[in-house]
Amino acid sequence: MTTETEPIRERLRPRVVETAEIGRLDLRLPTISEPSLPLRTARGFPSPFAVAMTGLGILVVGVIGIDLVQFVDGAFAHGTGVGILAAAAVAAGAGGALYWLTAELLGLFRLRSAERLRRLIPAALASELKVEIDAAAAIVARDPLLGEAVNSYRVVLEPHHTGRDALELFSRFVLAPADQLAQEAVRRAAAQAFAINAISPTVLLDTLLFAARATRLVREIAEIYGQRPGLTGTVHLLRRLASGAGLVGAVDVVGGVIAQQLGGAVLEHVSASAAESAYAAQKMARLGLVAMASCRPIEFRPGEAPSLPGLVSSLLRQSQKRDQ
Amino acid sequence: MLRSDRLAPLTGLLRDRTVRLAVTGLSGSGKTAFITSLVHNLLSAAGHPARLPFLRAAAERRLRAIRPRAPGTETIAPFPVREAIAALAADPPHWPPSTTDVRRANLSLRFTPAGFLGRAAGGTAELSLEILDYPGEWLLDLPLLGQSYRDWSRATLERARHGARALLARDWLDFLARHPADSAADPEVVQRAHGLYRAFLAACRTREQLSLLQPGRFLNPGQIADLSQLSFCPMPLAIGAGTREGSMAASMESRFEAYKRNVVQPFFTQLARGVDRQIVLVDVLRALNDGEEAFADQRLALETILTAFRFGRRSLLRLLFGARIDRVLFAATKADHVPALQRDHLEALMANLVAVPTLRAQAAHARVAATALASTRCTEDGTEVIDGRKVDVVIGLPEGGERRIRFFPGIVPVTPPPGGFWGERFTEFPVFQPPRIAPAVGDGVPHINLDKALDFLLGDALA
Repeated sequence: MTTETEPIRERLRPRVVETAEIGRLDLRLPTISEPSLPLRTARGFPSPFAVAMTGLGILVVGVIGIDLVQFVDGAFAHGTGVGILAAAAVAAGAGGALYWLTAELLGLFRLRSAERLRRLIPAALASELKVEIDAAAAIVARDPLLGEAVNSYRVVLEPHHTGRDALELFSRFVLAPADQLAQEAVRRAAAQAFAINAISPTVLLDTLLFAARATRLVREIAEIYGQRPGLTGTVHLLRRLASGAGLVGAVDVVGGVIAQQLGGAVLEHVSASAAESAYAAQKMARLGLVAMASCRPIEFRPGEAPSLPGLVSSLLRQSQKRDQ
Repeated sequence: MLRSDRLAPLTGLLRDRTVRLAVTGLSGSGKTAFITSLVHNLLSAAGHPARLPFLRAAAERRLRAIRPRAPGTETIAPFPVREAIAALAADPPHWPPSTTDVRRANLSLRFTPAGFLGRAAGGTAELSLEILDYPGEWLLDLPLLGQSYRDWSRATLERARHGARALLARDWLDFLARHPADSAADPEVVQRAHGLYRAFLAACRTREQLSLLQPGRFLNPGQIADLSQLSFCPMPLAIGAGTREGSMAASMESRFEAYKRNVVQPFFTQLARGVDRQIVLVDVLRALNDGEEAFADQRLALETILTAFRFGRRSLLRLLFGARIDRVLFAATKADHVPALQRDHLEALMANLVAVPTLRAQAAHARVAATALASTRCTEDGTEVIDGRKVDVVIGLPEGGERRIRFFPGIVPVTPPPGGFWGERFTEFPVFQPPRIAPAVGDGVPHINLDKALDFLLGDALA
């Protein structure tokens, strides 16, 4: 057997090629344009679970549909006026359900898009990186508070910038303000967790309120990063958070440090009850940080991620200012 | 309010600062274009910071007001900012003329400090930026200050007898052979020897694109009042032998020493005094296209020049006893002549080329970086099929032309290329027409990585 190898091609020498194009280049700063998300690649066969769920969904919709038709039909049997009322009520209900379903699907789609980008960007080739970051910008632009930041990013990004440049600019102009907003949300939630724990009369109520606030925090953070999840999206996010065991572990280490600091410096001066509240606030802050790391369209680079001690100390500073 | 009014002069002392930036580079490396783009982009940055997104102070909109500062009582002429910008704003735009003498651009940058202390003190801070421009050829004279006429003659003659120089130096070397160093000095012979040496230097530059050509004033004399100081050339001197009084060698030596004393030393004093930041501009691409000898010569010239500068960390003690350069940026210019994917190569090649000066600066605790930049971006990226291969090219309008060209610069190596790399010299290296800019401050000048360079050189002073 012989192996054919590609002949070594001669190195290309510098070359000037004349063109028929005339006129100066337009090198003004780019105008803002709305980039579109790249098309999703077609997948193979759907999973058995998806087929089963689709079938069951069709069954449920069919049963409900037939019931509703019979309901409207029965109403018309009682009189035209009653029939029209029943038809209108069914139409309103179906419209509401459709709206909710659409919102849920859109939320889930946004989440999936963001997750896909998080997977793609670290491994993207230099030539692809700008496209992926453009798509990430389109996601974050959905947050009204970050619209201006995304516009600034689009204004400063010029065609000659490399993918690495684009990533740096996106981090500076878009993600840094988004991170600040997210940290604000975490600080608010942590302060409220402190208060909930302090005033809650029973452990059960405390737990329920904490869980509700934590869910709201996760949704808030997801919205800041442009994901706006619905109910399904929130469940998906919570699942993702729960599965991020490694991340939680990493935060636990930081948590241990802050607990030591709190134990040494602060807890001497506060009551046991307040210490419990402080611990609840710390747990909420930790959850917020994990949610930030999870929802951010581009993973934190070394040195970018906010620290738990930093968050808690700024929280303490804020409360001191308020006291003054 | 009253307290902050009283504090203002005190905090001003702490926050206001002057940075002297030396723009260093051999002839044709793009110093004038760099200064023009830097000044125009900074003047535009307060109102329109979008051109400098990597300059943190501009991106954070902390630059409040930037204005040219009127020249003081110093003897250095001001850099012709208005004329240089007018050249880029003309129709058709053209490159500002290169420098023929020492000139200085002064800018005043008023900004909001980013640090906690700066903000707590209230108000704004001011950075005075002084940028020095001068003919690149003159830099080559700086190493002469540490050399005797004998050493310089020996090194120059050694180079003249080898490589591409040998053919060009033939007339001059033949003349020297007919007029030995210990023969009686005849003003006409001295003048003739000097003339032949100057012709040799000019031919080295125009025909072989060589860089290490001393003395620099022989190629660009500037405004020297007494031109007789320039009438000398290297002479072959026997090792250990002294120069006899009244001989050719003695006459040449005295003129060489007068040249060092009256021409080179004042220039060095102007250039090096108080300089605390330095950008070294290098036209690596042109040297790559000019062939192996031109490339090696450029590298040697750079290393020779940089031995004249003092590097070191900024400290109060050093400020008292003579400032040192604490940040050095080596920049490969004309980065717009290579497509985006090859700019990283250009940057890596630049870093490799200046490895020795970098180590010296780092050993003195100065911060050093290398980059690829285009002070004025004249091209955009595109693709072209060449010899059946799809390659990245740059597209631009050549100066004086009407039709755009697509330029493929070859593959830029990341390390100084080995012997097998070099082919025939590429003589069609294009000069692109600069983009036309608005004469008033506004959109700034298109560039590549100028903002990164500024952030490295001035970022801490604007923090």
